[in-house]
Amino acid sequence: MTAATTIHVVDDDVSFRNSIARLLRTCGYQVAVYESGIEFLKKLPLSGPGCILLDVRMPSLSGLELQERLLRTDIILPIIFLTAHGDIPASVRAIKAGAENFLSKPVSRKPLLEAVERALANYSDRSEQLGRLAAMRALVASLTPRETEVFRLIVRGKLNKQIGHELGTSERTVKAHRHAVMEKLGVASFAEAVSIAERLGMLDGAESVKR
Amino acid sequence: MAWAASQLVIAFLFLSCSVPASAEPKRVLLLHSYGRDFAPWSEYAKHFRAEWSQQSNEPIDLFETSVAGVRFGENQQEGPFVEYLRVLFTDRPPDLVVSIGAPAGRFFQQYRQQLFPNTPLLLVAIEQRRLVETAMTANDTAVAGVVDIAATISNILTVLPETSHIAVVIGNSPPERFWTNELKAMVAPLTNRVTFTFLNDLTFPEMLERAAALPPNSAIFFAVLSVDAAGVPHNDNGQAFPRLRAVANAPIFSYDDSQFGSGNVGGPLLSIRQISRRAAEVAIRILDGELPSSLRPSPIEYGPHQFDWRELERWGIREANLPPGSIVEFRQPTFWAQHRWTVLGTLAIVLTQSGMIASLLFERRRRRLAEATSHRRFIEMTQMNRSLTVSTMSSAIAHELNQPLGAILNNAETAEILLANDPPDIVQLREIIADIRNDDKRAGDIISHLRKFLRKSEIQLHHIDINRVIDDVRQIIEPEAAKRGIEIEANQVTRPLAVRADRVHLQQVLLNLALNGMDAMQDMPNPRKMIFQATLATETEVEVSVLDTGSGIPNQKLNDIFETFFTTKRQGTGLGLSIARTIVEMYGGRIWAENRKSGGAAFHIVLPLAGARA
Repeated sequence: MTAATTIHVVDDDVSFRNSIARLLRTCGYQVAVYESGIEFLKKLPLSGPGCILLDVRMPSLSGLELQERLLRTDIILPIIFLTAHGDIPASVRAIKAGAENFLSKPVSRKPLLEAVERALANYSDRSEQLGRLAAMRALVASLTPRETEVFRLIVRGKLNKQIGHELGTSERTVKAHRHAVMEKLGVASFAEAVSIAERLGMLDGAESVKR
Repeated sequence: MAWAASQLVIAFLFLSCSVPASAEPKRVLLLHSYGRDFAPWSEYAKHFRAEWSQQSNEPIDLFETSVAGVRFGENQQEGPFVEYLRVLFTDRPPDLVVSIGAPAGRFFQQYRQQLFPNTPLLLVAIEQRRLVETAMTANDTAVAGVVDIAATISNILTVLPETSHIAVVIGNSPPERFWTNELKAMVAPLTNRVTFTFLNDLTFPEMLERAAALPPNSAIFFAVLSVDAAGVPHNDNGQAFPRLRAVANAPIFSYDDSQFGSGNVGGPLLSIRQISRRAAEVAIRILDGELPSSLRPSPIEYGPHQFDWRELERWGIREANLPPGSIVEFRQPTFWAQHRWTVLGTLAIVLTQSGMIASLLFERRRRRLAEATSHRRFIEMTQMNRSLTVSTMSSAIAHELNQPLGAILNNAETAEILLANDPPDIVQLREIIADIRNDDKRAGDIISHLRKFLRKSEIQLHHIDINRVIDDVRQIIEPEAAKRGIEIEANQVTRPLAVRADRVHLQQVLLNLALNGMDAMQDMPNPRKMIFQATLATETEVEVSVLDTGSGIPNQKLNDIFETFFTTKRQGTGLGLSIARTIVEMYGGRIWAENRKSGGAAFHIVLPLAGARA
């Protein structure tokens, strides 16, 4: 698969599926069509940017279930739900689960393309964000164990003296570690270091990756 | 005088019709004491004559007459009557003289020598103490009775222990005077317990007055009434007793059975018939040549205690007071006992009728209710269920229509874009137009399908392929199923399974089953699956099944679920399955539910295959 932006359309209604693919292609997008959620899952992993147009009601695997499954993978393609009967509970559930958007059929070109564009933009932001996070994680991983300990305590606002006392080293050693951490992480201020820690979730005691 | 004249005429007839002695029947002279019809002696004579003809076929020449002295007073001259008799039987004396009552007997014994010295005498209806031994010759015999006064009085006191007063009805002729003295002597020992009032010094009307106003705890002993104190005879044809009975305010007892059944309460009684029978026996034997002195039957005594039930009832005499071995005659069943079966029968008929009427009314009411219910249900079937389905269908409809509409819109917009190009992509445009037309048709089908469903159309019976019905229903419920995350599977055979029914009805049945199944799977974990199966069960039957993966049905409820208003859902109407059953049974099919081994319920319907011979 090329890295070109691809819109993935998952809908079991052949007529609608074809028509929307035709429309999107005419508007210049790359479109891949799948007749069911299972078919789509078979094609993973995907590469390249894009978004997913997902029909809510489908036999065997509903759109919502597919979304759930995707959350467990590392697919970060945004999901736009399409529904033929626009019921509120499903849409609320979908949004709560992190859907990008919710459109009801029939949908005209303008709102459709707007939603697609926004989704793709979100994707860029997100993937960028993820990239940065990945980079940050890599940098933190490059710290030595001692440096990691020092970093953890620094971002909690502890003074050098306190850190030395806690770790059983001298204040001078701590200062040296501090200097190394700042350099490795590529940050110039204490605030930035904290920001990294916070992004990586090191401050709430558990590593969590926010997508 | 007329009486004497008639007797003379009879005598003349006798005299003028003399026949040779050898061919002549035996002559019997029956001699009464008070007159031929004077009670109770007339009873003896009556029974005597009857018994005689029963016991003997030999004709006899019976002549009845009566002495007059007792009746007409003591100063009556008997001479002329003796002469009369002598003349009567001049050419031939009677072969037997039978006297009824003591006076007649005594008369003959007195005048025998002047009359018929050789004729035997049979004394009948005479009390034994009235027999004068010295007057009895070898030519005399008697069938006497024993009147045991003590037993009679004792009987009264036994059955009516509270009796404190006994009125004795007795007349004033010489024999009656004899008896009055006898009675007075006999009851003397009892007078400290019971007061005895003898009415012999009263005229009969006075006696009647007395009898009507006796003090409480009284009883009446009717001894004999021949001639009252005024010299008036009162018992021709036996009138005295009934007249007494009509006015008496106390129970009447007597010593013989002449009035038993006519007012005599009862007790130990002399049987007139028995005496008469015996007398007839003796008479016949005498006429056959036996010597009277060799025939000396012992006097006849009282028979066993007899009582008239009606008198017992009348006077409140308890049967418990009767001596053991008493015979109670004339028992009358009470109205109840008498008409018991009639009453019971009538009651039974009335009750049965009432019961039938009640049950008919009840049945009618039930039927009306049932009719109303079934009519309502029919209406429900055609409307309510449809509207239930319609509400379920509304999302189905929306979904269904939105698909083709959405596709049409996408295609139209695509076409717009393409047309803006230069040159436009004609091939694609053609494809687009074709797709638009298809989607339009699809939308149209959906609308007409819906309209057909909603229309209150008459039931139209066609050969409906069950497979298609499954498809229809599946299409309807798919959006709902998808919403709930339920997968639908349909296992159908390739050959058409035709059932002669209304299409909408069949859709309703399957739809109701499907909705039911989906509700059952509501809170179940995945996978949630609904399966439609259609197959040819037998040569003549189609079987359709709807299976789910819900929680199943409790075994004891497998039948109840088809009952109207049976529901376990908070919002349930309880109508879906019962309507399904009504429809299925209407087409001659069966529907039932069972639990699947793998969990969940299975609903099976069997319907007759169209065109197959059942």
